Amino acid sequence: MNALRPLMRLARRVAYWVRFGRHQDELREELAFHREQVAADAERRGLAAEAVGKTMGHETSMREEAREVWLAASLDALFKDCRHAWRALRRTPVFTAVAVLTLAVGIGANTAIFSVVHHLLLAPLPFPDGNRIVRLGTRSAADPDEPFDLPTAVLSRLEQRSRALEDFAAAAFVRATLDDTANHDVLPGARITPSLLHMLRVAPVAGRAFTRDDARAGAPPVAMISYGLWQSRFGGALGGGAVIRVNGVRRTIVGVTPRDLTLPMRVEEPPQVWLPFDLGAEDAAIGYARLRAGATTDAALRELRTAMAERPDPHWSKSTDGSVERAVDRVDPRFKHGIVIMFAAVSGLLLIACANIANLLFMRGWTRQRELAIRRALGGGRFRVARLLLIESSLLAILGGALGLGIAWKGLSIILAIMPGGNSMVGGPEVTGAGISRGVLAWTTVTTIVTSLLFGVGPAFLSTGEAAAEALRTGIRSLAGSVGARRLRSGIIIGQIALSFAFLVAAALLVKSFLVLAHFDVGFNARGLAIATIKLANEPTVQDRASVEQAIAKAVQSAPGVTGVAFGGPMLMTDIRGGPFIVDGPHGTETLDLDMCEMPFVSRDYFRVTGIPLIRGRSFEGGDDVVINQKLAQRFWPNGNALGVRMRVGNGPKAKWMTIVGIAGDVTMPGVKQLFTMQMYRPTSAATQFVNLVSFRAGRSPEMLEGDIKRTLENAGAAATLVSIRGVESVLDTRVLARPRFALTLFGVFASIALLLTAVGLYAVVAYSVTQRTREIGVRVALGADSAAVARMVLGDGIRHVAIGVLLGLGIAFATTRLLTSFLYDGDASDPRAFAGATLVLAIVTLVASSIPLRRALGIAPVDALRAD
Amino acid sequence: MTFAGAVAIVPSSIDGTIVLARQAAPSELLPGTLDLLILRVLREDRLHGYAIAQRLREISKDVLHVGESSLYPALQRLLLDGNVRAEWGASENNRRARFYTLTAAGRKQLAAEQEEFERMVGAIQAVLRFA
Repeated sequence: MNALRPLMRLARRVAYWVRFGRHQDELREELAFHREQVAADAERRGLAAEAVGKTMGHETSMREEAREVWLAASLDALFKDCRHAWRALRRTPVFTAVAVLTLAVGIGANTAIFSVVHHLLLAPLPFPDGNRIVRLGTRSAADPDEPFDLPTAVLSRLEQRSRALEDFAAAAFVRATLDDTANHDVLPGARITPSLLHMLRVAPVAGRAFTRDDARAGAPPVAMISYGLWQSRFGGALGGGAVIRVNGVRRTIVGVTPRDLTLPMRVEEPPQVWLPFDLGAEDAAIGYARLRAGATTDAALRELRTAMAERPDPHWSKSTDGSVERAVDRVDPRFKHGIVIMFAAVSGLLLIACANIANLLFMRGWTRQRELAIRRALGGGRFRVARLLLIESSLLAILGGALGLGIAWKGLSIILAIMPGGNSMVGGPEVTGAGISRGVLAWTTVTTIVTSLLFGVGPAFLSTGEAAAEALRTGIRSLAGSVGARRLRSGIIIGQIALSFAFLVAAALLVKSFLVLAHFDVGFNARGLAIATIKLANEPTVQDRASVEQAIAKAVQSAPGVTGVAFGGPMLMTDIRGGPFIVDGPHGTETLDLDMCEMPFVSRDYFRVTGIPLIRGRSFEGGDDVVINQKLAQRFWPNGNALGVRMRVGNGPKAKWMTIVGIAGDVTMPGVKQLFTMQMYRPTSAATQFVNLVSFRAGRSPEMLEGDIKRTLENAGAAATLVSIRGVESVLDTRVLARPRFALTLFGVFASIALLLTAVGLYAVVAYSVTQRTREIGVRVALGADSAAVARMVLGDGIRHVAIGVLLGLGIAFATTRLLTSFLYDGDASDPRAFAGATLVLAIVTLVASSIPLRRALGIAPVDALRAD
Repeated sequence: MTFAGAVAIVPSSIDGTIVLARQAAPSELLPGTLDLLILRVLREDRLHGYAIAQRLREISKDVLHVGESSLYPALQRLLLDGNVRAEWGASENNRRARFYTLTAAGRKQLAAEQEEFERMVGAIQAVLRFA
């Protein structure tokens, strides 16, 4: 009953301030009534008005006083407690700094990274009702994540009778060369069905969308352009009949698409030029449609499979299947996978931060048992003591939160600045619009602050009145000496070590993987290598091709500093296709299933120029020769007898028999699946078109040769012009390595923060706990114990803690690092060095944290130690 | 003379200026006396603020004039402590007025404070008589 009184008072106070306005009105009315009564009374008794007025006080000050009744006591006490808490925190500056920084990093780093993740994963699609949009394609076992084009015949068949889908559209990416620009700019473009904009529910910002007539064969050629191109090329104006030359065709511009319009789930740059095509035409494209109300993607997939079964495509392999994905999964699955891991890492960091805070506060609260006991003995109620601790924790939380917000702000801008854009070859969506997500901020803030409050106030309730009284009576200066307390303290330290161990191991593996990436062997020599894209006025005939090639090679070779020239370019994924792979073996022809293979057309000098080693055999001599890479050779001829085998790709009428004459080294890219690294090189003479990529090796920066090569090509008289030169090294750097490097940089920063937090947290807990034993150490020394023996005992405790903690941590680490495997570029999640390193770090931190307070304890006189607390 | 001391405690509120708890000199003696008096008159009756002041004046034979500036803060204090409850009702002349009732806690508080007060007055008297 009595214990409830302060609570009831508090409740009434709160109720008063919640309905402050009403209470003011009530008081005003009450007062008016009172004055009316006084006036009436005075009139009745015949008193003068002045006399009456005299009995009335000053209304405002009276009201003020009435208000203060509800305020004064609690506010005054609050101020007192705040001052007190501030002083208490200032008395222990190291504790305060560690706690505030841990909170700040926990809140800040997590908020920054969660915000990016949140934006990527959860931000809604920019299309109305966009979660009903699905993407239709094929996929194979080789890479189930990446859908490939569907034959348009399958799509139009599906469109005619689908019950699950409506609003069909299709798109295929093309490179659009603008012939009427000075440099023959090559822009990303897309061929789209006229229905696409309607399917997306977007309207052109100028002009009109494509109509069915635009897509019909023989219709006058038209194009739509992006908002960006509209602004840069046409200054936002578009008179009737503006014309653009795309890939050799003059097209009338009929409309402008909205700013930054890109297709759902595509990771390429937003298309700048849009060309119409009809679903009825023989073609292949990615399909788009909207799910009908109540329909599921499963139902749509069943329909797609049926349609595919009716019109099988010769390029499909046995494992080729349909793919129906919702557009809300706009993030590239590979990238999403990374995000999920990052999410886990961030959560781990948050956990570490929370554990640090909890341990710190708990230790502090525990060692303050005596202070708390005295407070209670002197009449400070449990609530009053709890309030004091609550205010201390809140102060910490406010300081940490404010600092954390700053870190989040700065961190987010740094992440966005170093994040590779959406035009990376490996792919990923644009994140330019990401801001600090309020939900994320609220989540991290609430998590850490609740932790700090919970563990900050907990000790007030832990100390029962009896225990506190006992502590005072028996003169035990601190409960920290009791057996239970020692066990608890050990438990906290061991738990912290276990958690830290698992996190450190994961971090070490990621950092190691990052270092591996920095020295990644792509399988060719990228230094000084460049790819020139050239353009011929006329496609040469097959007979002329060799002489044209020779003329161009000679011209490029004559540029200063060029040491080697070959046709073809060592960029990965230029020409990937799968299909039946027919081998003429000793037992007749045999069909092998080739899922994914890169099949570039290159000239015979290609291997010498690019530095791809020929492991066995030789390069091409004739047009029917073929060179395969080791991976491909090992897959189908594990016994090493691939040389001399006759084979062909596909069953089509144009497929011809070729002979394997050489085996080349593998070309690999970081982050590309192993199955993607099969290569089959065919001579340029076997290509259907002239190969317009020229690889050459030059001095340090081949891009500088652009002018020279342009001139030598002109002088060669082969009617060839230079379109562009790309340095392989820089392309590799920005396009291929940028994203994994970015992810790993983030992880590296992360790992460093984790290491720091872990070390600081562990140090604080261990040091605190040893400091608490100062008195015990003093007693031992006073009773004649050898300092070395005491030191052995204390440090032995530390080593025991590390041993048990690491043992527990091993379990957690094995479970978590398995998840990491797919993200590691060397794929090795069991590197003993990571485990040993983590153990070493933890052991060092523990020993250092034990020995510094230990030395201090041994150094002071036993008498002082006995007085110490 | 017994209550003279007590009356002396509240003179500042008689002329309606301020105030028991605020002015140091008189309230130093026995703070909270007004609260006690209010509780006491509310024991018999449910009254509004003006009626409380009236009742105090009548019973004290026109000695205690409690002004609004001390009456209403005191009532707020009693509300906060849960010793009285307030509700709106119709006054004798049919105006809307706020009526105060003693709560169970208030009744206990009254008994305790009254006992304490009498003990204190007894002690003061004992000292005065000795002198």
